Amino acid sequence: MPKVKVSQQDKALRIGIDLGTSRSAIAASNGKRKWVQSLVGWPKDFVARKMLGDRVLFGDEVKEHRLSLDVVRPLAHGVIKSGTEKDEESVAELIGHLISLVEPRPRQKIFAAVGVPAEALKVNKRAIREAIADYAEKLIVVSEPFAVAYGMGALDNAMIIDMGAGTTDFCIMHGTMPSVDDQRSLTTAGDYIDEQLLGLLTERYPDADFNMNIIRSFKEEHGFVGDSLTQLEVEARVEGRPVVHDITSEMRRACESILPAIAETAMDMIARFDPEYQDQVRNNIILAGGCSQIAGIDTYLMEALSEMGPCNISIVDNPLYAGAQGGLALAKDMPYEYWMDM
Amino acid sequence: MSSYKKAHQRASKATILYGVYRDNSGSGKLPRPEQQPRSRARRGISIGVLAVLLLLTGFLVHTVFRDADNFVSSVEIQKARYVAGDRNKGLPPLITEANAGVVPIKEGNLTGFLSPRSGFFSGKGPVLPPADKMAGKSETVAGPVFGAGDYQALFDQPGVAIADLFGLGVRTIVIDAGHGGEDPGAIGTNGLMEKDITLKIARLLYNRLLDEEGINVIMTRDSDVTLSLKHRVEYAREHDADLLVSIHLNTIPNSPLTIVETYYFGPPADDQSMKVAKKENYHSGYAVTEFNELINELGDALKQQESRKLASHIQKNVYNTLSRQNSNIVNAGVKTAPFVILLGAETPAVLAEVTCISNTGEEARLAKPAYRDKIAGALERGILSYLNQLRQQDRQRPEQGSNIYAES
Ligand SMILES: Nc1ncnc2c1ncn2[C@@H]1O[C@H](COP(=O)(O)OP(=O)(O)OP(=O)(O)O)[C@@H](O)[C@H]1O
Ligand SMILES: [Mg+2]
Ligand SMILES: [Zn+2]
Repeated sequence: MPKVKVSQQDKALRIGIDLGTSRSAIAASNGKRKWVQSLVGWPKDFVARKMLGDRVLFGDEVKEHRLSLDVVRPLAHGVIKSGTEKDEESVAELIGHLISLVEPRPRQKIFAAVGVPAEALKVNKRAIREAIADYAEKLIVVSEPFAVAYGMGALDNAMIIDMGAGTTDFCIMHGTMPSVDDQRSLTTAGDYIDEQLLGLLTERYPDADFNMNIIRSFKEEHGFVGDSLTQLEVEARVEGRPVVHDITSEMRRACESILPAIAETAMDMIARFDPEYQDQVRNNIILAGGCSQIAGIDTYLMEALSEMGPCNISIVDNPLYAGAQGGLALAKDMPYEYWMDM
Repeated sequence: MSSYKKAHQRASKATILYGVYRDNSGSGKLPRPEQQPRSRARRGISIGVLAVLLLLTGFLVHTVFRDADNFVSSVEIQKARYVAGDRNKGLPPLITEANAGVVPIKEGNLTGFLSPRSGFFSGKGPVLPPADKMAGKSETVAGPVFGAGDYQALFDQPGVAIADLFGLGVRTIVIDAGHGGEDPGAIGTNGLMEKDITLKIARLLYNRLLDEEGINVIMTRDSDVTLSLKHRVEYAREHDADLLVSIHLNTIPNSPLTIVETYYFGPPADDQSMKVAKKENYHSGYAVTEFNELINELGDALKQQESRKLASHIQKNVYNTLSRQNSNIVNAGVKTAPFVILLGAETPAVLAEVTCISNTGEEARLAKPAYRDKIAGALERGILSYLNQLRQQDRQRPEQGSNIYAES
């Protein structure tokens, strides 16, 4: 009779998932982590199915074949559009796909902590729970900034500002589970910047044909606020011919466009606490999400908030995975007694 | 980080995790639309397969054994025991430890060894040792496996396990913490109560099994509540349990002796077993008629055989673990006794008297979390090694049904 060894790899897989408007990421206790664009493509018709196979497509593949697909961005605007079955199904498919990317062994149990945009949590927690119930043995759903805070160990005297694509989410941590008042959400984030940038550029160069994807990737590479050191130039077609355009000041204005509201909201939320506590929180502000990578954004916000007193702002090391990693930390730390009746 | 700050962080982490739990437990249990019916369907099919197997084997056993004179010796080697109990007359005949092993084999009630793979038919010996041998040599297996009908033969050979019949889907294990609420169970000299310790061990065992692949684990109680045995049994039935492990602590009045013993359902092997059963059946909640009905429903040799195997895996592991802590501990082995909780469960079920709370040394050890965790670990290993062995058997015979046809 061979000895039964209860090795670590016999155990359940813990995963953290960050369901985002534009990107979704997963981190697992087997050390794997992956991300995909939050795009789900359903073959449109018979011809598409013939060509692509009868399957759902995700991420880059969706972009590639978008003409043959019904493309769903299931979390557009930070919520699952309520009542639309396609969106709920798409979220479920996306989660299933993410889980397959970290390769659980067959029949391996999955204990998941899923971070979702704070708004989605309010609006349709049930839909999210149902979307993942098919894949996970046990499940907790938390707001995305909370997952980030947990992962960073910022449990007390801290504020997380998660600047994503669809929403900028705020969360104040004060040693307990954040209440509704401790969390807020603005619909001005990365997508808003893109729209602003497109608007400003079409205004300045009415003849040029700017493409949204190019604008976004240009922002991701060169986005900045405050003073710029170099001049930014981008190529766009004018009457079919490529022409180089200077977009330095448009880029700055677009990127800065979201910041006054963010600074305002942050101050407003902090002001609800008593003065001594305010100081502590102001000195522990953490920026997360893709837009936290815009150059100079921490300095800009620090200056804006300094009217309340001195403050300190840091940026998470890895915005792409901070949420998923935080979810994973939660999934690993959650005591069994708690999983038990969830 | 200062130690104050660290402690503070730990404290708030706990607070926050509790908050997350509260936040998520409200929306509570999710109905899993597909999974339940799927497993039901599988079970339905399996029962169909089982019925066919029974009929088929009954037939085979008759035809083959009629002219197999040397069969009896094969039976003796396997120590397969069978009692022709009349299922319709309530309790099966009492059998003492002394005569349990030498039940005469009557014609028509043959107990045999029918291993499709190992080639009884081709004249070769069985490949797999019998269950009690596989589980280790330290335990004494007392008491008969009783059931009715010739299909007994099928189940007495180790090849056909529940795994074969019910597929390898997720198994639901019910952990039953003995006693609780108004029923404290046994009480140690220094006031330690059986109900508290069984609950603590049950929780630890739950935690250990929860992570395990292919296992769905539930507890009959997770707090200090009074639960009748009937209630526990029904709970296990409702949840389609595949295994039931009831955790208890023994008492031997006026004796410093500490024993470990594991029971499965059957007639009491001796007076002591009967006493233990009486003690544990207290609070049963069953009316006499219901009780008789349960017994009539029994006759489930498969369940009995599997219960015995499970019991021996558990007994071996608990004894081995505890004897390392206390060299005076006595291995009382695997026994049968008419415990209500074991009878009522539809599944392989055992009751483990993991140690004696009446021994003051043990009482002191049981008060320590580390010791309780050792016990939980031993129970876990027992359960897993039992399941592992089922899985191995399953792997060794991927197509059970077709083998029977092929070789007969
Ligand atoms: N290096 C970068 N610099 C500037 N912006 C970036 C950078 N990388 C990504 N972004 C922008 O960040 C946004 C995506 O961020 P993130 O992945 O955090 O969003 P999300 O989680 O999908 O959205 P949400 O949190 O709103 O649901 C997009 O607008 C993207 O263009
Ligand atoms: Mg996000
Ligand atoms: Zn007891």
